[in-house]
Amino acid sequence: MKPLFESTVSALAYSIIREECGVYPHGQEAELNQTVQFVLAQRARMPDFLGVAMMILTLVFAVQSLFFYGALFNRLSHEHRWKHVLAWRHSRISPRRDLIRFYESIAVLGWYSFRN
Amino acid sequence: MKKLSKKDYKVLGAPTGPLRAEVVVIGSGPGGAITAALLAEAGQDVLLIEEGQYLELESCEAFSLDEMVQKYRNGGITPALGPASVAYVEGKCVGGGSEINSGLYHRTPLKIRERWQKEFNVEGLDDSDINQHFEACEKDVDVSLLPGKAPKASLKLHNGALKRGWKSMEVPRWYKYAKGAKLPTDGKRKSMTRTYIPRFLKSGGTMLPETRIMRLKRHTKGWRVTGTHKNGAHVEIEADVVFSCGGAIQTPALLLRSGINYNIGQSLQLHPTVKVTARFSDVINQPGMGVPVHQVKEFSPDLSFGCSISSLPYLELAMTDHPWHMREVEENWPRMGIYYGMITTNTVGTIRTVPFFKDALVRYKLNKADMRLLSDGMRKLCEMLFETGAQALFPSVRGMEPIWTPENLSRIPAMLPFGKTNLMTIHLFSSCPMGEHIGRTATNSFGKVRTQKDLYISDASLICTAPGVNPQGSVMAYARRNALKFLGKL
Repeated sequence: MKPLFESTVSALAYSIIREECGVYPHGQEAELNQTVQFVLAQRARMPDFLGVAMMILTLVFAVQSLFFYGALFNRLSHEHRWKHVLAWRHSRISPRRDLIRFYESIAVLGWYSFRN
Repeated sequence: MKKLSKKDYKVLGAPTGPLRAEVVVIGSGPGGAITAALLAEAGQDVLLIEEGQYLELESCEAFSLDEMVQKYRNGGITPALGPASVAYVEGKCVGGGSEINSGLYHRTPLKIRERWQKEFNVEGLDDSDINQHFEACEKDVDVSLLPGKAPKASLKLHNGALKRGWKSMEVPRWYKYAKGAKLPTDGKRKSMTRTYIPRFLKSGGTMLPETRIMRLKRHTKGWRVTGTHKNGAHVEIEADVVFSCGGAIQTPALLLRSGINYNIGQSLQLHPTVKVTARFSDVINQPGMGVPVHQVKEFSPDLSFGCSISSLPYLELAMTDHPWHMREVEENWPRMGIYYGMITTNTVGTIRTVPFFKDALVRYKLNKADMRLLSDGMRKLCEMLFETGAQALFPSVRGMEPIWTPENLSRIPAMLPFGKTNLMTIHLFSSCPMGEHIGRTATNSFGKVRTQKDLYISDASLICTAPGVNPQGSVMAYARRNALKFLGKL
């Protein structure tokens, strides 16, 4: 479970930074890796009951892409990953929106802090 | 009393056996630090316990990721859950919230104190009772105005308010400026680690940092305080008297875990806050510009307005509500600033413990009237920003179109949407209110827990209702008053 969770968070953070911050992972891998580690660490620091809920929801997010795109989230192309992110971001179910909102906030804050 | 030098300060590591103290103070924020210092100076044997680390104020850059990791509880990821969740932060380090906040100082407004007297029967709140405590604390932490001009981002809001004929003021801070200082950055913040904590240690007090207290248990001779040190060691302390000063979330959580629940954790209040990111034509922002100090109080206590920390990472974070416009921040950030509108409401929240989990569950149920007031606040804030030359405004509502002209203000709905509005607060209080109204309060007017012997609260939990201003000045004054009352000096 843990490797799948970490791979999903890593893929999600990369997608968010690439799409929203306009960054391609060439030459800035160190800052990107720092950001991913920060996102994982912040999830671990959350209030414990929320952290557990966030982990479960992240795994649901990862596995659900199997049904739509035939592969786990971290194995998708960037285009498919981003479609999946947008589907959750605009979902009518608030925990789905909250999940994307959480990772988006931490990834963006981390990226611009480490990069500067 | 002989004053100790720094090398003689008693700061403990993980205890190897049971400890004993006359007075145990749990939490070292403004309430706990003042209580501990005054009691130690009066010759009491005091043990001050803090869950976080004992760090210098300069251990990290203010408002940075390092600060979030080192000094914020849960890395700053703490939401009050409800129809519209409110993100809040708590300090978790020696000095508590005073180490991480902007240091803006207010006394409790007279109208608010009168309300507390009327509705909660709080004693000792008249000017003649309480002003001496405000004055003493103001002197101790050097409450003062900026020596030079305020940051441009701050002046923008001030000028916008004046142009609309609204009352705006520079708020003093607990900040010591060198003689002849000309710049706002020529000074040092007078947090608890710079003021009351050294006073406490100099007076012979003992501090135990990095220790989380889990339970209080009353027995025939006093209190047994148990917890865990960061390294895993079990901590057990015998005490005659306990002061709980962990703040508006941690104090009720500790008392509830200890089976003490009369009016505890049922009346949490906070100041829900919305933000608007503004872009101007002129440069208003620069690295290290300092803390904005102006607040607009025309509609206080219902609505207050101010300017937030607006570094590039925080501007980008604010713009995640407007993902199509994120990339323009990199180019335009020197012309951008983040502004806030804060409301005061009677809505209450709760704090609960969750079986098998150590963190407290915080719930806060904003209602439609609150969302309408927030909308009104957002609209007024935008009006001020346009008045002072804003070219574009980005409200903290996911999916809302940016506001380009005053005519676009009609895009702000009369009631902000619950699921899409991003709310935050840094002010939490009222979870264990004080007073003589037995049905509404958890402690008497001086912080003594109503149903327990020798157990006191001295932190923001005691504040009866949302004061509409930064509460640290109030917390300090009531902590001083309550400590002196305990010592029989009032």
